[in-house]
Formats: sequence, structure tokens, C-alpha cells
Amino acid sequence: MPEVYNWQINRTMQYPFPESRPQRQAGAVFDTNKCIACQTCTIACKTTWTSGKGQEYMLWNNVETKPWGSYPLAYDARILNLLGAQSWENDTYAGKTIFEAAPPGEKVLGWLPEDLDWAYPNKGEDETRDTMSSDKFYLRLPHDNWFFYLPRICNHCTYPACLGSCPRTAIYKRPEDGIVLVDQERCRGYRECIRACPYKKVMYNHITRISEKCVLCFPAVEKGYLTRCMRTCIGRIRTFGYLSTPDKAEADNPVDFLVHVRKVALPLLPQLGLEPNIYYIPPIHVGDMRFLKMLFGPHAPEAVEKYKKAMRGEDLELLGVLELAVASDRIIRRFEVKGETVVGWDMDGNEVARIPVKEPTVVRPEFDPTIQVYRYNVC
Amino acid sequence: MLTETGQEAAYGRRWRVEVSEMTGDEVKEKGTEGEKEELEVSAESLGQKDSPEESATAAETRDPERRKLLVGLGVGAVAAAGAAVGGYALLRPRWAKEVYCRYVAEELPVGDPDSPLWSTAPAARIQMGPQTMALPTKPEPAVGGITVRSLHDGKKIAFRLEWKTKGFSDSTVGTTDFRDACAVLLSSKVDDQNQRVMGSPSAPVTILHWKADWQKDIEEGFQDEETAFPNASFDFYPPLVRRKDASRPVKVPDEYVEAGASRYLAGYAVGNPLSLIDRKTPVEKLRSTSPGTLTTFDSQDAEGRGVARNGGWRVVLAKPLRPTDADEIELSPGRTYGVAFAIWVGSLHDVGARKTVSQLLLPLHVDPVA
Repeated sequence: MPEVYNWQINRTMQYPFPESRPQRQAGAVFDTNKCIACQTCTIACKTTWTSGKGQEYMLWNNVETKPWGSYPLAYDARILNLLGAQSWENDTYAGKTIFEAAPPGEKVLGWLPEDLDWAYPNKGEDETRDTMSSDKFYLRLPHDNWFFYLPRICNHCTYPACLGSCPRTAIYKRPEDGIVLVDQERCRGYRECIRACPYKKVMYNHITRISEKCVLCFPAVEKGYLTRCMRTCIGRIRTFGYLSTPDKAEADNPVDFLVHVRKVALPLLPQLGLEPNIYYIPPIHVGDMRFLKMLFGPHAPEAVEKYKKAMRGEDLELLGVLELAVASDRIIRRFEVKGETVVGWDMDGNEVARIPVKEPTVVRPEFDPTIQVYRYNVC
Repeated sequence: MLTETGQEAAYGRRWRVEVSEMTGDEVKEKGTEGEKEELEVSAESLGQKDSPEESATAAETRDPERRKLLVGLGVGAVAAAGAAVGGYALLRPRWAKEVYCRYVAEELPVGDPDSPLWSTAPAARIQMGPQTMALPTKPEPAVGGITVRSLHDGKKIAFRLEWKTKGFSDSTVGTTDFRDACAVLLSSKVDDQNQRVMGSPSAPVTILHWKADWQKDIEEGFQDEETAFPNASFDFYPPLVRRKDASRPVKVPDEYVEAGASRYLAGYAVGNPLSLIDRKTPVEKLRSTSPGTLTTFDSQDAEGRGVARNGGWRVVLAKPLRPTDADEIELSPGRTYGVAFAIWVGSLHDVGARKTVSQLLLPLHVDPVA
């Protein structure tokens, strides 16, 4: 297999095809600290793309509760178990990727979920890591007992396992934006991609009997608009854009800033070796940093600290970028923090957002004399 | 029935062919020709080696009682040795080196794998083995061998493939449902073994691919989602929100087409041959120039049918001798071509390159028209 460079694991690795990066790579940053699992993204995607018979079980976008939630069942635990122990030496991944760990005669280490595995998208929803106690765990950070929401779409990986495993090259990565698509004319339903994708974001259509996956709303993206899941995100957790490689990072590009400059956004399960292009700001309240390191790599603790610093008001630039998330339905190519205001420009250079870095807050008195009532602040 | 010698005499061919002595009905009762062939090999081996008489001579003695005992022991030991050798011979089938396509004046039984006409065609026992040439591989073959017969009538050529299977699968509805299938690869390059691995850019191969699920779709109606998930329920489909009777299952593709929403059946909407709902034939005709280049021909005039028999499949695949598409092989009576075979056992999750394949590209001798 050819050797390719994966900057997320800071080394070269084996991949079925030579390195061929797109002209630009569509990507996004999801702030897990803001996600409330309202599933608006899930439904927006569902009604847009998977309303056909044969697609009932498909959630190209899903939101699962960690640590217990998963869709399909235990997708992450199963591939990590198959892979065995994974270790890092500082920035460099010292274990095997799923390409390097492929059994003889296979291209990728993988497994094929059963239909029942897809049947519990809400498994583990809102379940804490451990049994709740009377201890007021939520009054301090991090929490001893915790859960958090993990919204997931296809990662449109730089080294997609689905693409690498397809014997027919029916899956392709668009050179213009890096979006990974299944050619619906060419796919013959072998399901090698479903076995191979460790994130299990390629799915089998029961009626057309071929594979389908998230298309990153390419018709919208081509016109400079956000995807459906991002455009409808009421928590405004999603920052969409075109991500550079670390050596070409542009500090005024929101996703580059979050991933490469501030390094507050991390890939999901980077040790698998796919160089996924959806990044996550880790939750700051999770009491067990080992879990976050497993999920987001060795730099999870630093990312948490940087985010907390911004929340304390000590990093206005970071706060500003985060405020720009879904501030417009246009893809924001460039941002600038001017005083206490952040401005965003779209791909065409048009100003599409101008908002305060810190949202104004009002402390409401407990008693409202105009209507003679007491008010309770419940959250 | 013709004997080997008679077959050679009748057709004046340089190649040897193996012909079953059984009629079609006898084959059904006694099993496949492959089994019969193996029994013949066993008897032959027992007769040639370690006969009981030779062993008795070696154990000769003057003491009648002792002689009886020793003779008995000797006979027993040699018989056991003979049985062992015979057993080995039983497991050592005689594999065909070529496939002979017999001409018949009658119309080919392309839809009837049980037709007595098939027993007039010489049976070739084809050795099958692992697929190790392309990733992913199938290192453990699902079957050791298949039995192939071939007929042509001057217009069409047909093959009948038989193999044993441990489980039948004729669905691809569920994510882990994989079909039973078989294929015949036809090449114009009889001497080029590389052709066996899905052809080459300079010499495309023609492939006939029978699929158990396609046949079931045709004979019993399209296997809709309800067949795999009879208890599943779904609130509603947004593109079909105006349908009047929400209690009955959605009929595909009709309701989506009527609603102007067939794009929600993407594979169907773009005309993927795997996503067709109203099928005409269980045998797909394809071209290939290397692994990963399998492409459905524009015209689908291949035919065939499979039946479950004797714990396995008995499948007919047929196509016209003359090509109807560019790059399709043209078969002429009286000439020799290359042929190879593949088997997929769905219950083992065989699919694509995960297949059991014949280990050689064999000569296919197409009989001249009488």
C-alpha cells in the first residue's frame, strides 16, 4: 500500500491510494459544549435526504449521548476493541491505523453491523457515566458524573476507509471540495464501505440495495450556503468552512483558526487514521480525561483549558469565532474581531455577520414590581 | 448414452470428455455426476493397489489355525489399508481440463435446469478454489468443485452449473443479507490465464451472472422491505404525505414516481441495474477489463433460471452466441474459447471479490452445428 502523510497522527501511514488532497477541503467544527441534543439537525437532514422507502433507519446526521450512546450500537467500542491498544508518543500515534491493522486479504480492518444495530439511535440517551448520587456534582467542574452530546455526520475524511475499501472505486472524493460521495450509478451493493467505515456513516438502502451516505448538502455548499444540519442548528454549535493543512493555515479562516491556530477543535478518533474533517471542541465538564483522550486524541486536556479560558473572557478572538457559528446561513470564509464585535465575510467577500463577541446579559431582579410577581431563574 | 470413446469417435475431437452414464432422473436420485465420478475413482484405486490376495500370500504359514488367524489379520489390515487408500482416492476427484459445449437441434432449456436434455451434455467437474488475486480475498473456498454442462443450438449457448451449499440465500434486502449467485466468464483468449482475473483492457471478457434474489423478485414479486422487516412501522414519508391510505405499505416505485419524488429512491432514479424493481431476467450480462471494472451491458438478453436440488443449486445461464453489444464476446460453433466460473454463497457473506473461483481459465469447445 502507498505511504501517505496524516498530520493528525503526525506520521506517514499506509493507505490503499497515494496521497491526493483536494484543492480545498470542506470541514466543520462542532462545539460539544453547546449541543443540547435537540435533534433539529437530525430531522433537517432526515426530511431533506432520507425520506425514501428503504432509508427509514438512516440518520446521516445523528446526535448520541456519550459515553453510552452510539449509532449503530457500539460502533466506536467495536472498532477500538478490534484495533487493540492504541498509544501515542507525544504528538505521534504509535499504534496501528485501521489500514495498517487490516487482516491478510483485506484492505481495511472493519466489521459489518447488523440491521438491529441501527435500530436504537437513542440508546444511552441522557445516561450519565455512573449511577446518579445525591452529591451535587454539577456545582463544580469537571463533573464526577457526566455525559455529553456528540453530534455526528460523515467526516468526509482525507483518507476515507469507505473509498479505500470499495473494490469498484464507486466512492470518490471531489477534488473541488473534498466531499466524499457514493456514485449511485456505479455502486453494486457489496457493502465493503459499510464494513470499512469505522464511524459507520455509510448505510445500506433496503430498496435500492446499494450504499448511501451523507452528501454534505453539496448543492447548497456549491452555492456558498451551509448544510441543512448546520443551517438549522439552534444551539449554533457548528462552524463550517474550508480547512487547510497545518502548514497552510490561515488565521482569519474560522475553521483554520479553531483547528490549527487555537487548536481547540480536535478530530474524532484520530488514531483510526482517516484524518476526519469534522472537528470537535471537547466538553469541559467531563471528569475523566482518559475518555476524551481516547475520543479526541492526546491534546484534549489543552483544548479544554483553552476553551475555559475563552469562557472566562480571556480570549476574545476565540469567543468571537465561536459566536460566528451559524450567525449567517452563508459559509463564512474570513473573520475579524474588532473591539468587542466580530465580523464575518462570506466566500464572495460580502459581510454577512456583525455581532458582539459577548452577548449582552441582563440580571433580572427576583421581584418584578410592575406585575407584582417573583421570578425564579431556573437555569 | 455415449461413452468417452464413443463421444470422441462421434465428434472426432482431440479432447477427452467425461460423460455420465446416468439418465437425468437417475442423477436426481443418486446425486451429482461429481459424486459418481469420485466413486469410480475409488473403485479403480482399490482394484489396482493392495489387493487382498497379495497380502494373503505374504502371510502364508504351515499351521492351519495360525494360518487362518494370520490370513484373517492380513486380510483385515490390507483391507483397512485399501480402504484408507480408497478413502484418499474418494477425496481426490478427477478435475476437468476443459468444457465441452454440445450442439443440440432442439431449443435450449434455458428456463429448465431439470430438462432431460441436459444429461446429453458432457459433465465437467470443475475444481474451485480461493480467490486471492484481488482484495478483498476469499481464502477459504465455499465449495471444492462444481459440475458444469453446456449446450448450444446454433443461436444461443447455455451452461448448467451445479454445486452443493450449506445454506440458501435469495435476499439482499437486509444489511447483512447476501445472495447466492454464480457466474460464467467467457474470453476470446483461450491461452491467456490472466483473462481469468476479470479480463484485460485489450481483451474484455463477457460475464453472465445469475442472482438468486433477482430470480425471487421475478418469480414471487419484488422483495420489498416488508419481507425482511414484517413488523417494522414508519410514521410517514414526507414526499408521500398526501397519500390517502397510510395503513398499507408504500408501493415502490409507483407511489414515489406518482408523487414526483423518485429521487428519494436514488439508485432507482439514476437507473442503477442493481436497483431495478421490475426485473426481466435473473441473469445479468456484463463486461469487464480488470477487477473493479464490471459494467452492465446496455442490452440485457441473457437468460436463465436456478432451482434448489440435492442440497445445492442447479442453475442455467444462457446468452445468444452472437453479440448484441460492443465488446461482447462472439461465439462461433466449431471454435474454442476460454471459460471460468465463480460461486457466491450468501450465507457466508460472499459478495463481489469474496467468491469461490475456478482455478484455471479452461478451454470451452463449442461444437460445430451438425
